[in-house]
Amino acid sequence: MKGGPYHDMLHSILGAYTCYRPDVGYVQGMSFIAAVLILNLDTADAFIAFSNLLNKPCQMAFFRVDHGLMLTYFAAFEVFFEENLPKLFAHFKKNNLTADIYLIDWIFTLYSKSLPLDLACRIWDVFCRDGEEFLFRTALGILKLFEDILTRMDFIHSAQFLTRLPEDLPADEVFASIATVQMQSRNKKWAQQQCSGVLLTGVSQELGEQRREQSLQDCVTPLAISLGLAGSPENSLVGGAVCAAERQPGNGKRKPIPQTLRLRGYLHLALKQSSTWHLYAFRLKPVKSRGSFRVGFLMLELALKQNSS
Amino acid sequence: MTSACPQALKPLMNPRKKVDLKLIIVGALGVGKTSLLHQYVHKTFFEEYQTTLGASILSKIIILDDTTLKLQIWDTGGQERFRSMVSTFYKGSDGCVLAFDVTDPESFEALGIWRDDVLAKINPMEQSYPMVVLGNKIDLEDRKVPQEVARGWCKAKDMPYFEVSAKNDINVVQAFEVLASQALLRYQGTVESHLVDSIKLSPGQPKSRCC
Repeated sequence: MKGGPYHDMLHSILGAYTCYRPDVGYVQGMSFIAAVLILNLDTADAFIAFSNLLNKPCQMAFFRVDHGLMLTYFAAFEVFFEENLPKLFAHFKKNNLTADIYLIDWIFTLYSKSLPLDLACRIWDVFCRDGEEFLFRTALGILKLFEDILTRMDFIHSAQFLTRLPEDLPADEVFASIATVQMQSRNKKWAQQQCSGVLLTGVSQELGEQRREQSLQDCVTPLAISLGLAGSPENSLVGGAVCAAERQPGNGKRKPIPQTLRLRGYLHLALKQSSTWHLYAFRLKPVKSRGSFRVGFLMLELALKQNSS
Repeated sequence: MTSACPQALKPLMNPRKKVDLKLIIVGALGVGKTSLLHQYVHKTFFEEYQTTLGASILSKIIILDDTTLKLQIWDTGGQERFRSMVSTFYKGSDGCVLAFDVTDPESFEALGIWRDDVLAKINPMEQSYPMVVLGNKIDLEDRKVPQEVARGWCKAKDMPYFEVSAKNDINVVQAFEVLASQALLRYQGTVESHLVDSIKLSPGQPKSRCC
């Protein structure tokens, strides 16, 4: 809200982003993501993290509203939904409750709109480590936690419940529920590869194809990768460091979901290596000078100054 | 129900008819779709802006003549880019509210596109799909869309027009009830034509949305 705390910061970040990616621009829901970052980082760092977060393929698909790709994500989600919760899946199917009704909100804002902030931060924490798969795993965890209630509800009540989750969601129960979700369905799994390309092995070739194209584009901006906020955690600086620390004997086993809030740590670690990336951004994507983006410009200048000193 | 039904038996057969209707509200970003719905359903108004992503669904039960209507109203995100995405939610709707902001000419100019978009998703042959237009925020000082212009546009397209304020609760209930009654008429029309064309043994199957 205008005049409220952080209003100007939020405005700067969103304005700067429209300069950096005029092809994406401002999209409803972005402010929720930026808000979480502002609470954890200063303006310049928050902007950097924000941009790179949105460069991730899943986020790009949603914020560009690439309908085809989004539907593919929903379809992939449904494969794991049916595998994990067949009863509820059938119930939703019967009632015509489609995944987009609740997933759009959850995925767009990375749960920062629908869940309490502390819980959302913990989910971001693991999302930074595990990638987009975890967003969908979380969705299944929530559905699983409320499976009994939801199976007894009709369409309208389920839809209302899922688009407005209880405010007092117990974090530990949510995470315990997420931990029981299997993201492997026979020979299908949600695999992620380097350079932000993600392949749903066996689930959808199409997604892989579309993705590969897009991820090439994403590769042009090395910033995202150097930041570690994009791409597979194993191959990135942040994820790499953290994963190395966490690596367990008998690799290949699923790592346990961390119990502590480490978002701050992840983001700061990510930012350590990023001093010149937005210079790249400038060269690659000359910013169009439009009056309304002046705020964004000031913000970018500030970011440049801060990083060069 | 049908004309074949003797007049005297009607009340006995339908002490109170129950009908489920699906309504949608569309329009540009920030025109007040969510606020209009909250005013209508919950009789509340929030000053803070809360963006809608995907869909949010509200329900309200009203009584119209001798019929209990269970309204299911779908609220959608209004950013232009979301149009292709939210249009899947229009499917099966019985009526639509087109909303704009009288202080924002662009939101008025966008109405035509929203309307076409909705009509394209509904049975395209249908002329009688009920729509009402709401010019919101008449409580604000800096009005930009003249009432006559809005009224003229709606008249040309044969849609009822309402000047409303979600904040001060002006005309909101009236607008929704006009839409609901038109949607009910259309629903009764389709039920009747179903009964005339062929006798369906699964009662209310095309419309019933309760479980």
